[in-house]
This record gives sequence, structure tokens and C-alpha cells, in this order.
Amino acid sequence: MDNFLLKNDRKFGFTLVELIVSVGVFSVISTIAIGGFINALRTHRQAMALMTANSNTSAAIEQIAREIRTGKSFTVSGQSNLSFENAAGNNITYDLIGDSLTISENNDPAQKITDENVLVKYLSFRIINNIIPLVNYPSRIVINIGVAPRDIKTSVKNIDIQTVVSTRNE
Amino acid sequence: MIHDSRFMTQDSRLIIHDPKLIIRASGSMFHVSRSMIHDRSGQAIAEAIVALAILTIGYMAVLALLNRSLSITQVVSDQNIATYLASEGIEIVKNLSDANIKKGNSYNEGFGVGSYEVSYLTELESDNSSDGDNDNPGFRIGNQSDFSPDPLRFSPALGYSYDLASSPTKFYRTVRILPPAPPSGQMHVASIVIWNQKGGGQSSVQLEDFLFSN
Repeated sequence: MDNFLLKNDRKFGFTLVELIVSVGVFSVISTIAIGGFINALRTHRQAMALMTANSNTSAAIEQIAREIRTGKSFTVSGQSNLSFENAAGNNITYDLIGDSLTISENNDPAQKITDENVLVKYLSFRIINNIIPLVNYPSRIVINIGVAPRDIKTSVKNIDIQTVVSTRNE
Repeated sequence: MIHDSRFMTQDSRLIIHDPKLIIRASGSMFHVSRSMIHDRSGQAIAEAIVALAILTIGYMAVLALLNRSLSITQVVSDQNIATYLASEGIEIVKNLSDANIKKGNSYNEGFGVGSYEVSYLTELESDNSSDGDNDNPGFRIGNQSDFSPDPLRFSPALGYSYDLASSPTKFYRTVRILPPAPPSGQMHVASIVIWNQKGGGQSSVQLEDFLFSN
């Protein structure tokens, strides 16, 4: 009976070589898999950062463009500071403070309108108004904004967005 | 197979108890059964490897999908830029139309059906007849089915424009005035931005607007 058990063990067990080979194969494959998983996490983080940068910029430009469209009396100081009177008669200032877009209403403290994770590299407003030959044209405000995700390197180095808004109020 | 080998070993056990004797007495039989056992365990490893390989391939497919999601996000960045460039095209036409009204002209004075290149410096022809481009607004590039052959150019100082000192981008913008031809109660404007995607394929954004008579 003892012999029967012994033989049975030999039949169903693994030899050392088999064990080493299988553990080796398993570790190689799991190394690849874990590497891939880490890579996937990084990719996901990059994708999220890019999406955040894009959606934040869209929202900010949309807000600025809407207000400019119905605004009047535009002035630019520096390059990134745009002041004007909005439809409600309030004095609005958009500016780049630090790395964030900000809005200030009636000289109240500036409030950020972009996220901390979005790096606004530059912001520039240009007023195309009364320069020859564009005399007596409604003001065109050219908005240039360059953004990138903060702290996360992606293949998209810089998102350069430009749009023009023509005021309807002049 | 399994049943066979078990049967044979059991068989040999039934005959002789001493393992040494097994080899001697029923050697050939034992050897057959041993090699069969060996085959079986080899099969188990082969099965495991195949299973792991299938899992790995499946996993790789998921990873490829994630990488694809990153490149799609980059496409989204381009679309974001293109949408604003297209909206700029519409806005400039609106500005030219508003300028007409401000000057007391018809809202569509100087507009003809066709494709145009416009930039934020584009003026109506009547304001500057000496700049050589005899059609207005902007630079007329042809009839309503033509596309602009000139890429928008970008420089930090000027932004996106057709200024030749700036470096060309992948974006091409065409602004179209579509029929019915002026003078009519409404003007159909389409602004199309096309660009070549990284890795092939062409993308486009088309915005349309209607301007109405004053």
C-alpha cells in the first residue's frame, strides 16, 4: 500500500526542473504584464491631464468670448490684461496671474477660472480696432492662449488656441 | 490514456511489491507507463503556457486600447484648436457684415459666393482697393467648392495668420459664402478647417452660420 502511494506521488507531482521552468515562465510573463499595467496607468494619467487642459480652456474661452461679444470699451494693458464693460455695465478684467486665467469684476479680488492642474503658458489679447483700413469696424478681439497639463509630460507640448470675437455692442 | 497508465501501474503493483523487482520483472510495462506519466505532466505545463499566452495577448489588446485612447485625446486637442479657428472664420465674416451696417451699406455689400481665406486682419475690399486682391472679403481663392491651399501659420507674436514669416501649421481654413447669392435676405457662411492627423487620415471641423439682412 505504501508503494502504491509513493508511485502515485511520483505520477502527479512536479519535478524541480518543471517547477523552475513554470515559475520562470510565469515571472517573465507577469513582469511584462506589470510593466504594461504601469504603462497603462501612466497613459491614463496623461490622457486625463490633456482632457482637463482642453476642457478647462474651452470653458474659459467660452466665458470670455460670450462676455466680449456683448461688451464694449475694450482696453488691453500689458499683453494679457483685458478690461471692458460687459452687458450688465460692470467693469470686467481678464488676466493671467501666475499660471491661471483670472476674472475680476469691478476691481474685486481676481478669481481663477482655470484649474490648478492646467498650466496656462501665455495669454494674449489684441484689439483690432480703428487701424487702417479697419476704421469704423466693430472691435475684433483676438484671444491667444497656450496651455499644457501641469507636471505631466505628454506628447502634446503646447495647445495653442486662437479665436477672434467681434463685439456686437459697438 | 490516463486510465490506461493507472491500470498498468496498478497492475504491476498487484503482481510484485518490491519496486526493484518491478523493473526487473515487468520492466517494459513499467517503462511504458512512466513515459506516459511524463507526457501528461508536460501537457500540463504546455497547457499552462498556452493559457498564459492567451491571457497575455488579451492583456496586450487592452494596453493597445489604452494607448489608442491617448492618441485620441491628442486628436481631441487638435479638434479643440480647429473649432476655435473655424469659429474665428465665422466671426470675421460677421465683423465684416457688421462693419457694412455701421457704414450704412447693405449687410452683404462686397460679399460674393465663393471660397475665401480670411484672418483677423482681413478688411473689406472697399476699404483698401490697392492691396491687389480684387475680390472681397479677404482673399478669394475660388468658387464655393474650392479649398484654401495655404496653411494657417503660427508665431507667438502674431498667433494664427497667413503671415509668411510665421511657421506653417497643419491647419487649413476655408471660409465659404454659399448660395443664394447676395443680395438676398440671408447669407449662408461656412467655415471649414481641415488638417492631417498624426498617423494618417484627414480630420475636419465645419461650422456654419446664417447672417440676416439689416
